[in-house]
Amino acid sequence: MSSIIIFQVILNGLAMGLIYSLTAAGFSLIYGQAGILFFALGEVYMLGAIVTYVLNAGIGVPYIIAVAISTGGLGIFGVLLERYFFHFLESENALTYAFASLALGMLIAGIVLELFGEQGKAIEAPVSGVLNIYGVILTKDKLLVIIIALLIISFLHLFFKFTKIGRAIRAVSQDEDAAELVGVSLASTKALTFFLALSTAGAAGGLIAPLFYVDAFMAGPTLMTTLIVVVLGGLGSFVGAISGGLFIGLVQSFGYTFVGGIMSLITFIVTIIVLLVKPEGLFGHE
Amino acid sequence: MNKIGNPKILFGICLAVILVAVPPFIKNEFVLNILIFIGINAILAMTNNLILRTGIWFMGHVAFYAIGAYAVLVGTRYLNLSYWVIFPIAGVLAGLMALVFGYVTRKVKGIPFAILSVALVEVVRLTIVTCMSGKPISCPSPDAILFWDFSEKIHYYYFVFLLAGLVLFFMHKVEKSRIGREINGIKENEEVAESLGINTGCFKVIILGICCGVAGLAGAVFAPYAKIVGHTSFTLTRSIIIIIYAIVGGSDSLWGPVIGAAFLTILPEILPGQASLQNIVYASAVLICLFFLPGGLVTLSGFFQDRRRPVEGA
Repeated sequence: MSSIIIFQVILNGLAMGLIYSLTAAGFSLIYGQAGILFFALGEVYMLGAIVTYVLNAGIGVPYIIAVAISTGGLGIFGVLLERYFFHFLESENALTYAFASLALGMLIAGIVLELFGEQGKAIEAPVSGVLNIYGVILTKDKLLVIIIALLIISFLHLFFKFTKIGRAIRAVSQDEDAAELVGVSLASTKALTFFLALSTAGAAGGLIAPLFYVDAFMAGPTLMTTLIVVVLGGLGSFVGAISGGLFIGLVQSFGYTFVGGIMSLITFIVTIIVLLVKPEGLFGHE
Repeated sequence: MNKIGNPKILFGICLAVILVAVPPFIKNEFVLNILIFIGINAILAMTNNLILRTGIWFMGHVAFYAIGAYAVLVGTRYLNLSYWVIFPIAGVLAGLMALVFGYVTRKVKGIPFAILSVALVEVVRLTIVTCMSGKPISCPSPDAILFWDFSEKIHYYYFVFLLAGLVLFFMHKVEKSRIGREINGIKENEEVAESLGINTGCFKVIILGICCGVAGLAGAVFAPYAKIVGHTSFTLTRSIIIIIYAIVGGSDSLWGPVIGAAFLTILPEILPGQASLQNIVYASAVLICLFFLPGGLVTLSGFFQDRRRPVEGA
């Protein structure tokens, strides 16, 4: 009996952790590339879930295709944001960008609340039931989240590691001037970064939609956890974002099951302590 | 020069006279309520703006506001202390906690500090939820001073008005003093400021301590005024909106945070529609300001721009 609970808790932790990994990767990507603290990422995640809901429950598009459409759509939204929103905000002060994205997030959240109402909506899970592997019982809906999230993460990893443009993006996040000097087009890498970051966060929202209720309030807590993950893993570090997400996901899953509501307090205190000891994060470097 | 002839001082005096003389004739509780909240918000916006101007990415003002409010709540309700004893204690307590926070985190800068202060807001809020069972608790009224018994809103109004006026005066003094120049120096270039003999680390911690102490006092006023205090008043959103007041009003000016607080406190109230429109209003105001009025609402009129503009291209 207890082993079933343990496996369930691990599975929940992995599923939530990978979702956090995705949002944190998106946040890290934009920060590393453009130096912008993109606080509207929680709302992008929410939009991912809501577009998936509207397509799936409203129009009847199959779930996977709905997720794919919302992912792509949010990616294009990201490119538009970079071109027509942040581009016109010429400022030396990084706080200006941070507050512009905060305000953008509030605007999106407000509009969604007006259109969508306060009531949470549920999406029918695309797969249901359990998988029994040698006595280990795994629920299929969480497995699906884990598999797709892992696919996205490995795609991103391979993309950054082996393709020319992926390496260009990494070069820009290391040294913008030097990268430009050797012929990297900053405009196109920035646009691509925003595309990747927003579609990753949107995909996270689409994936989470069948597990929880979809509503306008899901952005805030996710952004909070994402910030913690990003800071724990190290700002701008892809590996840090992924491992930080998994760590926080598992800690929260075990914590909520065995410790209770005080768990979120413990998470924040751990974050503060890590930051005090190692301000650059566990995987980051100065 | 004749000081009274100075239009800025004249304006200040006129405003003060209007704000003192008119409210007793306002019989509308709704209007008074807005005025009181403008006062509280202006105090928070001014002090938080001073911290931000020192180059600290501080987003946790509401944590110390909450500490002040709950100090009063615990002191008057559970320890049966007089409000006038606990009021200064609340400010000192919030200030001391800010000093400790500033000292412990002195090595963390920039974005990690911003996130640290965000985490602090949540830690304080969740501690309140954990220790106070998460339910709103009623806070007793302050004890009467002569006929001044805080039974009506107008009594709170004068109290808040006095406090906000003092904070504004303090900000004005800081601006004109050597400290103000040092703050500008640290903001422009911290290394240069340090090389000129300003102990920037110590300076920042002290500014943090004083400003958060004042935020604690604001919380100490808020608690008895609100009568029922719950953790929902002290969320991260509130903390962010405090910064937004200063940005919308103009963070480089003395009057900016006050004007921003007044504007953004009134705006959602006079607009039709329900409370959920509030965030849309705030967000639109901020975006319009950031894109079209980078200096805030104060730049609409040259009258309020009393502060040196930063050197272009510096």
